[in-house]
Amino acid sequence: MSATLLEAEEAVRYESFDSGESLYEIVDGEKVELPEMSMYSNEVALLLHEKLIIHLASNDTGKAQHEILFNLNLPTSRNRRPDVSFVSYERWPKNKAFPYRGVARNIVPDLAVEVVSPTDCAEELEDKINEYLRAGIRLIWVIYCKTRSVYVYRSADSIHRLTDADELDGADVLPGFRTAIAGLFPPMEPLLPDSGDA
Amino acid sequence: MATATLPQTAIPAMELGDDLPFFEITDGKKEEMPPMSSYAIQIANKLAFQLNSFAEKHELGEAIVEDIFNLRLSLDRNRRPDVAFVSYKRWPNDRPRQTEDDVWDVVPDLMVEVVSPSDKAEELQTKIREYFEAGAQQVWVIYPRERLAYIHQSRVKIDVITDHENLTGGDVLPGFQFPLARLFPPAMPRDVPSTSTPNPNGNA
Repeated sequence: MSATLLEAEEAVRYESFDSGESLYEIVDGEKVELPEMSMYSNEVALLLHEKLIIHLASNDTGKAQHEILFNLNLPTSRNRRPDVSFVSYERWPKNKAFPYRGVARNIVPDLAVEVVSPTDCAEELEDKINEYLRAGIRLIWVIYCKTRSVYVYRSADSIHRLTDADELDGADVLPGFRTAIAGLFPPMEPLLPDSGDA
Repeated sequence: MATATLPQTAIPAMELGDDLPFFEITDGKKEEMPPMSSYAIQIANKLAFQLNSFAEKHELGEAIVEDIFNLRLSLDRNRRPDVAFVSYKRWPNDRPRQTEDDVWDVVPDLMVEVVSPSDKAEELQTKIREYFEAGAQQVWVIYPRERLAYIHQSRVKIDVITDHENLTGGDVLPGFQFPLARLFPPAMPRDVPSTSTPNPNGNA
């Protein structure tokens, strides 16, 4: 089915957002520049994305994406760019056609992953997580690099914190996917006490 | 890495000068903290008042806002949690609070962080880790914009309290119950949940 005229106009308007160099999200119809992800957290995201692709190669249940903008279909215009995401074929059938125009995918992913950078604000992250839950994302992983831990959200009530002694698993969203949390993190330079990061 | 020497005691406040912004002490150096948002300050004060009313009535201890504590970690770190509750078990009521140092040499039973817009997510996690390493029994994190509280009962046991539920004192303040919603003013503008469920299968 085709988008309404209004959605098509919006899609064209949002195309103009794409002219800059930095990544952005769309909040209440306005372009919001995303602060630069730290290089380290980007490496973590890429590594996890790779692991998902490897898993999906022999468990073809959907597609894993990196930094794709999604239209979350919430009452106020919210297009978000999770660091890593997974869209199952249940939500977007395998050979379903993509529109020619538009900067955001009109689909709510099954899984969203946020890898936290040192500059990310706590409240904004919490807002995002709650939006993801309200939008119908089934599984959310929030990865903290310094404390080497992952918060797993299945719903507003179900939150678990896993450490680098644990495994991350895909539950019913990515059945059969398991990976050691310790393996998510490339080597990190030691944090110096003077830096304030230790 | 930890050193063999004991952590330095805090620089006496008098030496640091008057009209100090709020600070914490890391490796013996004063580090200025970014200011709490006024909304977060309000919430911290309301919570401390409620904790104190209960604690005083049951003679359990004292809740205090933005006091600075010596956590005695391997890093010389003194922290200033937004709200802290110190039981009389950890600091008897009749013990003189402190001498010349401005830092209270006790680890609170409960420490609460009320998130301000400028607070960083990773730093918050580091604080939670330090609080537990130092010996806190519970750590609460309050998110004003989302009207939520995370109750950390250990590094791996976390419950989320929404604004339809009560904060409870667990083993730290047995019997304490307070509706989380009462800490916040009427709802701040954010997404109103739609009456129809979102269609996860796209807009088509």
